[in-house]
Amino acid sequence: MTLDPHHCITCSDEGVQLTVLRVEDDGEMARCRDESGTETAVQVALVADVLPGDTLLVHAGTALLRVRLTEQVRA
Amino acid sequence: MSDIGLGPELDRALPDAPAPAAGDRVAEREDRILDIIEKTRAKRPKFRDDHITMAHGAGGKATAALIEGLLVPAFASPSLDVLGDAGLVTVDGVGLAMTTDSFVVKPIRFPGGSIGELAVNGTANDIAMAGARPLALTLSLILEEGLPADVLRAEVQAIADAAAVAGVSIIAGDTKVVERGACDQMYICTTGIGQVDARATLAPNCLRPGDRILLSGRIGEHGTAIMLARGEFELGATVESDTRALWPAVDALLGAAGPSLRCLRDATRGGVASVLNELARASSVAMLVRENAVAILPAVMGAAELLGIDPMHVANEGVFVAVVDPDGAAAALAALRTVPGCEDAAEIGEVKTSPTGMVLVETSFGGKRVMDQLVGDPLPRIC
Amino acid sequence: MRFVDEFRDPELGRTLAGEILATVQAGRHYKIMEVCGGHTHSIYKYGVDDLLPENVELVHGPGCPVCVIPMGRVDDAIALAHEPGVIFTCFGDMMRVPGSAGTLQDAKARGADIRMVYSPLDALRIARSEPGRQVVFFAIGFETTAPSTALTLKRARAESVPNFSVFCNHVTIVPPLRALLDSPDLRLDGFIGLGHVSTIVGVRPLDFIPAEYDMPVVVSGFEPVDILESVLMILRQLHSGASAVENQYARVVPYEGNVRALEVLAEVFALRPHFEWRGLGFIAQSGLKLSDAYAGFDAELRFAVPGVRVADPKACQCGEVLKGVIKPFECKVFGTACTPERPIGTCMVSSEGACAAYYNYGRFARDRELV
Repeated sequence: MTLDPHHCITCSDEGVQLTVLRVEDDGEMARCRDESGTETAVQVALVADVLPGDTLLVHAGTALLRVRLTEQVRA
Repeated sequence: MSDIGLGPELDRALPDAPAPAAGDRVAEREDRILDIIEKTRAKRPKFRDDHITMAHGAGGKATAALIEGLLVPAFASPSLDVLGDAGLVTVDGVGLAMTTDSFVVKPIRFPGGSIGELAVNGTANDIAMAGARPLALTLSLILEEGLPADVLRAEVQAIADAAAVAGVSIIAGDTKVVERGACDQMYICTTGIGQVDARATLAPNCLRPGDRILLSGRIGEHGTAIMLARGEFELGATVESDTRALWPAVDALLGAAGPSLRCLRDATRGGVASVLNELARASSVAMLVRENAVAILPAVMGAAELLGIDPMHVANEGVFVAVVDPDGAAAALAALRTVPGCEDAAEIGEVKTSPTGMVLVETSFGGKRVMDQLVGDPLPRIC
Repeated sequence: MRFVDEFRDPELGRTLAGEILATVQAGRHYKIMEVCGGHTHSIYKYGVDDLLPENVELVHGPGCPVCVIPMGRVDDAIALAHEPGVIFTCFGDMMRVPGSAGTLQDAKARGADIRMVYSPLDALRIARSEPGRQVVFFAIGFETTAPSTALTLKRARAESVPNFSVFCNHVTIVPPLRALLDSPDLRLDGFIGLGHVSTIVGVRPLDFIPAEYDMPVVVSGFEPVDILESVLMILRQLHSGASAVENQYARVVPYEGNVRALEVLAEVFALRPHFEWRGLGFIAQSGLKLSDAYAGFDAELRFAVPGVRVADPKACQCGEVLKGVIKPFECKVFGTACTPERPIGTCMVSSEGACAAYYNYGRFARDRELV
């Protein structure tokens, strides 16, 4: 519950991190879920070799990047 | 290339824009502007629009402008001026609370409830928020030509069931049918009446610095359920509307902390943020809310995050805010938590002195930000 | 998710805030601009600027692709929405942006079939399910959002969807940055760039900033810890006298960006010679239109749009606010003719704009005091 009331998807250039459940449509689309279980369909044509379990950065329904799961640890 | 301005009002000189005086320091000019803004914000909003838009129904700033700028001045009465959830009238020494409400929710059936149930609970809750025991409702149905009888039957049963649970009688009604397309399956209009409880002395303009802000449960579930039920977006979560009758909770509060209760308000359209902003303005106080104290289901958080909507702006149908003086807060909270549906009740913040009329949030990260009233209408036809 | 939580840890936030306090020089005022709405949003959401010392100021640059759409283009959008049989789809953001005679929200109230969508795919879906109607998608956004439109257009072409078209108002981020940096009256010490746009264009396009303008740039993540860390990195650069592009968000943003996305953009879009930005005027090579190969999906070609250029009202001083030359309250129409409910320029249209934020937060924005 930490959002700007006037939040714009485009203005805020937002990207959400979603986990891939399954890849569909010949690798063009993926069914993804967020940490709370909400599911959504995502275009994944811009990210190579998407696999179930991957975490993707998604904006306006399209995956921009695969987020590497091993985070760099802050010193 | 044409050069169209935005209308005559901009092209003429602006009388209230302060002209910089000779030797005017930047800080002084800034103070003057801030004064103008604060005075403007404190003034009764004006209704200046040419057409009604969906924003006027959202429960946020546009709704406030419509109500305070057009309706209240036209129907001026002391009771109306208070802008409470219900109107108060005294008959032979008996305090009565009356309210009216209409329900245009789409779709009419959704996870956790239906329009009939909303109609009963929503109306009864407006009465309860005035510190009055809901007694009876009138029910006016506007039905669309072609509505299947089964659908109507189901809603009538839902209304009867909800009325039984809420302990209210339906004492009068009316039915109209309009042509196909003139309404969306069914609209319901109600009037509710209740008796003001002797233990209640509630008003939105009595909040004082130091008062505690209680929230009766988890937020955002009704609006989220409706949004998901509309199926316009591909989200697969299951969330149910939180519609429920709130008189039992109010009754418990009055019993445990009656004299300490300042005000109750249910967080319907516009959500908790709108309620807090309205109360802060009505009492000319500030509020500080601790983000971490507000209970919310992960699924509601997730859906809201994906759609870019603040859960504090999402409509609820079974959650209310109670402002309590510091002495009664602990007892009030304990009593609230014993009521079914209010197990997640929590103290979420405190009333402060200044900045007047503003609601601030202490974020989970530690910084503070402003929580404003809703602008626009992200979730239309929510109740 | 554990790794996200780490970047929202209040403990870590306090530590960084302390380091920033220890690094700033007394009496010196630092102005750091962030251009990505995602950063502004995060700063607002977590109250990050509340944790910075008074002499470090975060200003929001021209990063709102919605607010910079000039009034004439909004008028064009409304004209499209009023075309008989058209279903006009757009992001919710666009509904309140004023054209010369009202907003899309007003047009909807007057009967235009305008539907809010959350991605261009939603719009294409509507086109498939309503074959008798023309569906127009109002495409807006920087390079972060353009790939989504591009993929949707590829799909529309592959499936030969006849009733779908795009009204393209995508813009690119680098030209307005350069225009800003070229202003003689700009006062800025450093940039927090580019946010999610960088996931597409990479870090390389920012090299010109330290190289040509001697200004530090840090590509920052969106979590509050990221932003604080990036501020610290800029301060350290300023004090060492160096200026370079540093990638604080290396865990997500690669130097070369998303090559596939850039290819798709090149296939579907072409650069307009110039595009007008509300409050900033005409900027060369800053707007996208559909390429010749996709001209069949161009709403501007399929329908007649008025195409009338509407100048910003004379009173609008957004350009100066964006450049940091004047503060919101110094604009002559701030708070009087221009308010969040009835905005004139981009700085007030977006709630993340400098003027809207200042108007809404008032004294709290200045004094940061809660009593």
